Amino acid sequence: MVRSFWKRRIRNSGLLMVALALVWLWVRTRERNLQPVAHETGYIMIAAVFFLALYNIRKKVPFLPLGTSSTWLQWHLYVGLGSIGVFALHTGWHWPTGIFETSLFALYASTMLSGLFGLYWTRTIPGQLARVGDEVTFERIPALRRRMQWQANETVIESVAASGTTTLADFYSAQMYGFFRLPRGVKYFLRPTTSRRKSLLADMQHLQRYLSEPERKACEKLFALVRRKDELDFHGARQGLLKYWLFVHIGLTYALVLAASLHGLMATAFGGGL
Amino acid sequence: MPELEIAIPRPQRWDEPFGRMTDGDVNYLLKIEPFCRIDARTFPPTLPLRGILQGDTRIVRYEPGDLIVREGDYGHSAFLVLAGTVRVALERLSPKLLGRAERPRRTWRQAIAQLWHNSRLPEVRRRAEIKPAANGASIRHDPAEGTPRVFVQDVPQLLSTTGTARLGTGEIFGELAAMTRTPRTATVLAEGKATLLEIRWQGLRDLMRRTPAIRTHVERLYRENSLRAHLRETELLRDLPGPQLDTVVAATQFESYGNFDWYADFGAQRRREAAEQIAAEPLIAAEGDRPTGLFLIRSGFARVSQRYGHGHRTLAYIGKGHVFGLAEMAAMFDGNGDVAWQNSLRAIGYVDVLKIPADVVLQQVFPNCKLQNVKCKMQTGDKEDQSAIRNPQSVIAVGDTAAPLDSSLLDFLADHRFLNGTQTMLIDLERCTRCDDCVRACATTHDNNPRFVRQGPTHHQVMIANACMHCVDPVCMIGCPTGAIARDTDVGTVRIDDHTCIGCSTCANSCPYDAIRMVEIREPSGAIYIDEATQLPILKATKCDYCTGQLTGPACQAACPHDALVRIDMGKVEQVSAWLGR
Amino acid sequence: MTEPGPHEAANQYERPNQPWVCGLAAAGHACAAGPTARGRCPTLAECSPKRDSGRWQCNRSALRGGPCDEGPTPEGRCGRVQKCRPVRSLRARRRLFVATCAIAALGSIAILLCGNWREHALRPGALAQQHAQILENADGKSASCGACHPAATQNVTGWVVSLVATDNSLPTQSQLCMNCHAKSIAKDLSLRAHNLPLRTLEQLKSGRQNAVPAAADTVNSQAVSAGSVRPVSAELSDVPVTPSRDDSAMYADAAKPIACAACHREHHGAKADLTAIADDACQACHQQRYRSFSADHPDFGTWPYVRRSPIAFNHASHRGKHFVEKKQAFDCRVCHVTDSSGAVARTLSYETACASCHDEKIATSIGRGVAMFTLPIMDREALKMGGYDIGTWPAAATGDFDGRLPATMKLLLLGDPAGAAAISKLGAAFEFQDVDPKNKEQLAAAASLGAAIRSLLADIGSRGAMAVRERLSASLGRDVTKAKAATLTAGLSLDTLRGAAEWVGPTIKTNSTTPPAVKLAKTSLPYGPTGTWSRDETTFTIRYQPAVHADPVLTAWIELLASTPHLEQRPIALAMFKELTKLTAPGLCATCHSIEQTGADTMVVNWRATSNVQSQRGFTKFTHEPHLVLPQLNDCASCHAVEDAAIAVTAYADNDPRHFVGDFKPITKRQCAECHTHTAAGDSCQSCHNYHVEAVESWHVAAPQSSDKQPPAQLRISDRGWRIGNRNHASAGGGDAPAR
Repeated sequence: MVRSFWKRRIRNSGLLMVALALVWLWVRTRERNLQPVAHETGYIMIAAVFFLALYNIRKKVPFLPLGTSSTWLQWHLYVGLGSIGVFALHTGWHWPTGIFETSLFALYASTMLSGLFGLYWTRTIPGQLARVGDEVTFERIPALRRRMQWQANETVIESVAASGTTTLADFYSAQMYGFFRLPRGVKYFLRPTTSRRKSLLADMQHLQRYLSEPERKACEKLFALVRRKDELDFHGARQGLLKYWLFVHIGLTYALVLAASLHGLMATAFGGGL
Repeated sequence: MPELEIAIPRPQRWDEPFGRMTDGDVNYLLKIEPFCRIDARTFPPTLPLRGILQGDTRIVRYEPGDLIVREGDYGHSAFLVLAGTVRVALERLSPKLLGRAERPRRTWRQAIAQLWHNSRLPEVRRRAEIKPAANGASIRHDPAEGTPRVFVQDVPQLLSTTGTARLGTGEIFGELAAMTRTPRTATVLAEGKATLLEIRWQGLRDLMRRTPAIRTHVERLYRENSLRAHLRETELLRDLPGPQLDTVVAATQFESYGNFDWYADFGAQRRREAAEQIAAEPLIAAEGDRPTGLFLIRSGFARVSQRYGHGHRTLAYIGKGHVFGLAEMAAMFDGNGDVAWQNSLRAIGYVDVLKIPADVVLQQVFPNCKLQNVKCKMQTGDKEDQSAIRNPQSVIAVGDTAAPLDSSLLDFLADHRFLNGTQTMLIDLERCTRCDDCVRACATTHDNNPRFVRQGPTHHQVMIANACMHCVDPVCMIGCPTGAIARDTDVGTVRIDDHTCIGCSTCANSCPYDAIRMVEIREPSGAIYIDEATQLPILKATKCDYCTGQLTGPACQAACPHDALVRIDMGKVEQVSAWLGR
Repeated sequence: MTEPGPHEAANQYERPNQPWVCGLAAAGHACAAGPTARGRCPTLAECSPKRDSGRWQCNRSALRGGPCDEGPTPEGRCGRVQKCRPVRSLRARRRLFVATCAIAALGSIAILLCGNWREHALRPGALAQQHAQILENADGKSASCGACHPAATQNVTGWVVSLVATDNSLPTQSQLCMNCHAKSIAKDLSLRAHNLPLRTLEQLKSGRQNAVPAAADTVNSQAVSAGSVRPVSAELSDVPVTPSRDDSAMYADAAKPIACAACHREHHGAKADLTAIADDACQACHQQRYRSFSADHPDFGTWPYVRRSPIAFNHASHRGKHFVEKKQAFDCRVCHVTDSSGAVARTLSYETACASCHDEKIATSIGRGVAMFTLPIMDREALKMGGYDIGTWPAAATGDFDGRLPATMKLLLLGDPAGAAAISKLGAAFEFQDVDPKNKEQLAAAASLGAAIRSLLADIGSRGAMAVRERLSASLGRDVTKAKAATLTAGLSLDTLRGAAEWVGPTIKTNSTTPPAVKLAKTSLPYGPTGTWSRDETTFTIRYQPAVHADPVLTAWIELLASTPHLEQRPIALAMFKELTKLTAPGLCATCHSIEQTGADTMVVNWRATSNVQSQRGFTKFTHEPHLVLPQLNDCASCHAVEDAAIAVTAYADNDPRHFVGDFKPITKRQCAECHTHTAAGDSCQSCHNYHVEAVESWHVAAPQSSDKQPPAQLRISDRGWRIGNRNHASAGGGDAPAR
C-alpha cells in the first residue's frame, strides 16, 4: 500500500516513453530498410485499440482474477496515450482524405479526445465533489431534489399560514419555485457556477426587510435549502458529467473497433504484397 | 402472469437444529450435571429448556487425537465433557500441527458461470434455499461435521513435550470464545475417546441467563483458565518467571467498562455533540489522577485522550492486547513520586480490561522483566531521551504506529467506533469518480445483489462506506437467534448463512455501522416470498461476505479503477496512514 | 402531494446494475417490489391487511415503512397500490446508447460495403493525378480499384479468407502496375533492384570492386590529367567508392524482389509526388551511409566525361591553337547554343560551325574524286611466262604490275569466289606493284584477279545495283538491302560502267543500241559536281565526286561495313573498313566522326555530335538550364575547364568510346557541393540519381524466362556521361528541373 501516485505516474510515463521510443526506432529502421511499416504499426494500433476496448470487457467479469481494475486502468491510460504516438507513426502525420479513412481518423481522434477529457474530469471532479456538500448517490439525486422542493413548499406555505402575508410566497413562486423544481441546464452541466445561488441569496437578503417575523424564519430555512439545493445541483451536474462522458467514450469505442477492424481487414486484403 | 407473491411458512429458530438430538439424548442430558440441577420452570414456554437442548446442542464423539478447538479460531459454541478426557494445550502449537487447510475456492468454471447463472432480479432465492427439508435430511451444520476432522498424529509425543491441562467429565471449555466473540485462546484435543456436548452460544447464553449457577461457574472458569494465558500475551509479562506471574494473576482485577450492549443505543448517542459523546464514555483512567495500576485491554476499544481547550482530543485508540499506563508506571519505578496519568482512558462502547495494581507492577513485574527493552519499544525513535518516560505523551500510540493519524481523523474513527473494523471499506473521495464499479462488481459476484452501499460517514476526503467491516468485536452476532451470522473460524470473516437466517433483523439493528441490510427475497420468477401466517414479506439479512470463495479477493477493491477504495484493518494504523498519504 | 421518503428510509441497496428503476424512485416513493425483469410495474400493494377483531389492520412491513397512516380500505384492501412506469436505469440507458452506436456503426459499414459508392467511400485518399485517371476512366463497378488492388475483385468474405489463406490465382499488385508500365520497365525485371538482372548487378559490383584501387582516391584524377588511360572496368565505376561495410548484404538485398509500392506510396493526394523518395530509401541497400552530399559523397572521378565525345573535337587545340591562328575568340556559347527552352544544344551543325575551316582540307583529301573502280596495270609478259592469259586488257594498262584497287572494288570482288580467293592470297591491303612476277602463286592470283575484275566490270555494267547487292551480300555474309545497294552506287550510270567494261573486253551485249557511252563519258569534266561519277579513260578509273561533307555514298559504304556483324571475322572486309576510315581516307570522315564498337558486334560511326543513346535513363541525371540561371555558372568553363594537356589523338585510337583521355578537367564534387547542400539547392540522392535505369541492351528480351542466367554479350549501362545537356524525353518541356 505504501506507494505514491506520483512515483507510479513517473515510472509509468517513463516506461511509456521508452516503449514509444523503441517502437519509433523499430519503425524507422524498417523504413530505412524499405520494409513495410504501415502494416506493422497498424497491427500495433489495432492491438492497442482492442486492448483498450478490452478494459470494458474486464469490468464485466469482476469475479475473474485478471488483475485489479486499477492496474487495468493504468494500462488503459498509458496504452491509450501511447497509441497517440503509434497512431502518428501509422498515419505518417498525414491527414487522411478518403471518406472512410477520415471517419476512422475522426473516430479515433474523438475517442481519444473523449478519453483525455474523461481522464481530466476523473482526476479533477472527485476533489470538487468531496469539497462541496454532502456525498450523495447519483441515483438518489432526483428524490432528494423532490424532497427539498417539498420542504421549501411546506416552509413557504407554513409561513403564509403563520403570517397571513404572501410577500415571501410571492417571491418564492416568482423566483425560487423553478430553482427548486428543476435541475440545472446544459450550461451549468458543462460549467457549474455559483452565480444563480449568489443572486438568489442576495435577492432573499434584500427581501428580508419586507418580511414579517414568521416569514423571516421561513426565509432562514429557505437560505439553507437554497444552499443545499445548489450543492445538490452541483453534485448532479458533476457526477452526471462523470457518468455521461463514458456514454460517449464507450459508444465511440464500439464504432472505432468496428471501423478499425474493417480498415485492418481491407489493409491486409488490399495491401500490395509483391 | 406469474404470481406476484408467494406464501410460505416463516422460518423459526431451531428449524435447523444444531445437531440431530433425539428425545433420548435430551432425556439423558436432563439427568446429568449440570442440567439436572437447572430448574426448567424458570424458562418461558417459548424457550423451554428441552428446546434449547434439542435445538442448540449436539453430542459429538471424538477419536483420540482429534482437535476439538484450535487456538485462534473463532468459535460459536462451548463444550461440555460428557465422557472421556480432553487436553488443553497451555502453549502455542504450530499452525502446521493444527492442520490449517486452505479454504475451498471457486473454480474458474464456477466463477465464469456467474455470467449466466446470476439472477436478473434482485435478491432471488430458490425455494430449496429458503426452507430446509423436513426431518433434517439435508441438515447443514457447522463445517466441523461435514469436513474431515483434523487430528494430531503423535499425541503422546505432543503431550510429553507440551504443557497441557486435563479436563474431565462435567467440565466446560470454549465458553469464553463463544460468549465474548473472541478467538479461541487455546487448542483442545481429545486424549482418548471423548464424548462432548457442544452448545451453541445462543443456547449457552440462554442457559446462563436463566441459571445463575452456570453463570458463576463460567466466570470462575475464565479466571482459572484464561487469565494466565491472556497475561502471557502481553509483551511486558511474557518473560516473567512463573512465581511472579502467579502473584500477578492473583492480584489482577477483572474490570468491565461501558455497556455490553452499547450498540443498542449507539444510534442515539452518535447524534449527540462530540464533547458530550466523549464525556459520556466511561472513564477508565482520568488524566491528572494518580496512577493506580497498569491496564491491559482484553476486549473492546478504549480512547486515549488528552485535555485540549474545553474538550478532549483523541491521541490514539487502543484495543485488545494493548497496555495503558506503562510510561507512568516506569516513571514511578524510576523513583518519581509525583506521577499522574498523562492522558485519559475511556471505554468506547464496551471494554474488558485487566488491571494489574501499581504495587504489583512495581514490586513483582518491573524488577523481573527486561524493562529496558520495553522502554525502548515505547520510545519509538527516541531511545536516548529518558524524559520521554516522564512525559508519556510521546509513547501513546496504537501498536507499532509508524505515522500517527491526524487527531481529527482519530476522533472521527473513535466516535463512529470504526476502530472495530478489520476490513473496513475506506473510499478516498478525492479520487472516487462515483462510477459505481465497486457496487456493480459486488453485485456481479453476489448473484446480482450488491452487498454494500456506497454511502457512509465522511471525514474530509475519507468515506467509510456502509460495508461490513468484519469487526474485531462483531456485535451483530450478539442477538442472532440461530447463529446464522457467524465468523469463519480461521480468518474471522463475519458471514451470514442465508439458509439459516430467519430474517429477524436483530443483526441489522445491532450493527452500529448500517452494514447489514434486510432484503425482501423473491422467487426466480420475481414473486416476493411472504409469510403464510402474517402475510409479511420474508426477509433475509445480507451484508458483505468479503467475497469469501471468490477467486479475486474483495471484488470491490479489485474493481476500483482509481485506487480510491480499500479494505483495511483499522487496527493497523500505519496502513491507514500510509493509504491516506499515498 | 405526499412527502417524499427520506433517503435514509430507503434503507436499501442501490442497485445500479439493475436495468429498470421504479418510476416513482425519482419522487422518493420507490416501491419495495420494484419493476419486473421486463421492466413492467407489478402494481403491488404495499401490504396485505390483516383482519384483527373485526377490523382491517395495516400490515405493512417495517422495512416498507411500517403501518401506514391511511390504513386499509373498508373492503380490506391496501390503499397504497402504486402504479408507475418503470424507467431504464442509467446503466441500462448506457447499454442502449452503446448498442445503438455499435449498431449504427455496423449499419454504416454494411451500407458502405454494399452501396454503389463503396469504392468512393472506401478509397483511402485521392490518387496522384497520373493514377487518378484510372479511376475516372473506369466504367465497371470494381474495375477501378481492381486496376491496382487484386482484392477489389473480391467481396468481404474473400477479404476475410485472404487473412488466413493467400489466393495465388490473383495477380500481385506490382504485376498490376506493370499492366501500364511495361513500356518503360521490363515486366520480368520490374521487381528487381534498379530493374536490372541480378547478373548485371553483380557485374556492377565486381566492376566497382575492381575499380576501387584505381578510383578510390585522387591519384586517379591526377592520372587522368597526366594523360594515362582509364581501364575499361572503370566504365562501371566512374564514381569512386570506398568499399562499403557490407556489400554482400547489399547484393543479398538486391536479390530480393521489391514491390513498386515500397517506394511509390499512393493515396496521398492528387498533388503528391509519387517519385519522391527519401534518401533513407536508397540507403536501405546502399549501406554506405551518407550524412550529406558535401560531407561524404564520393568525388565524381572523371564524371561527367566518362567517354569520348562522338565527334573528335579537341577543345584544347582549338582554343589554344586553331582559333588563335584564325584570330577568332574561343567562345563556348558560339557552338553550344541554348534553345528556346534553355536547354543546351550540343553543337551547331558542321556547316555552321566547322565548314569554314574544315571544308578546304576535306576537299583537298577528295581531290579529283574518289577512285571507286580502277584497272590495275598488268604485267602481261610475266603472266604469259607463267602461262596465264589475261585476255583483253588495255595496252595503257599493261606493263610492270602496278596500281591499287580501291576498297570498294575489292569488296565487290570479294563477292566473286575467284576474286575472293585471289585477294585472300594476295592479302587484303595488297598493291599490284607488290606482286612478284616470279612468284607463281601471286602470278596466278593476279591472273585470276584480272579475270575477276573483268567479270566484275561486266557484271556491274550489265546488272548495276543488282550485282552490287549480290556481290556485297556474298562478301559480307549478310543481306544487303536493295535500297542500300542503290545508295552505294547512287548516281552511277550503267553507261559509265559499260564503258569501263569495254576496257577489258568486248562490248557487252545489251538491248540498247545506243552508241557507246564512251564518248559521252570522255567529255565529262574531270571535276564533276558533287555526287557525280566519272570515267577516266586515261587511268582506267571510275571516280566518284563526293560532297565535301556528309556525302551519302561514302557514308553508305562506311556504314555498310560498320553495321556488318562480326566484321573482325572477315579480315579483308575489316581491312577495307579500316582503309575507308583511316585518317587520310578521302573525305577525312573518321578524323572527326569516331567509330565505336557496339554491344551487338557491329560498329557505329558517330555521324552526329549527340549520341543516339542519349535518351536512355542512366543512374545519373543532370539538367543544364537551372544551373545556367546562375550568373557565375553562365560561363561554361566555370565547370568545364579545358584540359590543355590532353592529347586527342589517343582518345580515338581504337573503337572503345571509354578508352579516352578527356580534354576537360574533371568536375569536382566540391564545385557542386557549394550549392547543393541540404538547405540550399538540395542534396537528396534523387537530385542527381535515377533509380530506374534503362539498359541499352535488351537482355531481358533475349532470354525472357531466365534473364538472369544468360548474360548479355557485353554489359553496358546507358551512358551516364551523355545524359548531360538535354532533359529526358519524358519530361521535355515540363518545368520539373531537379534543382531545388
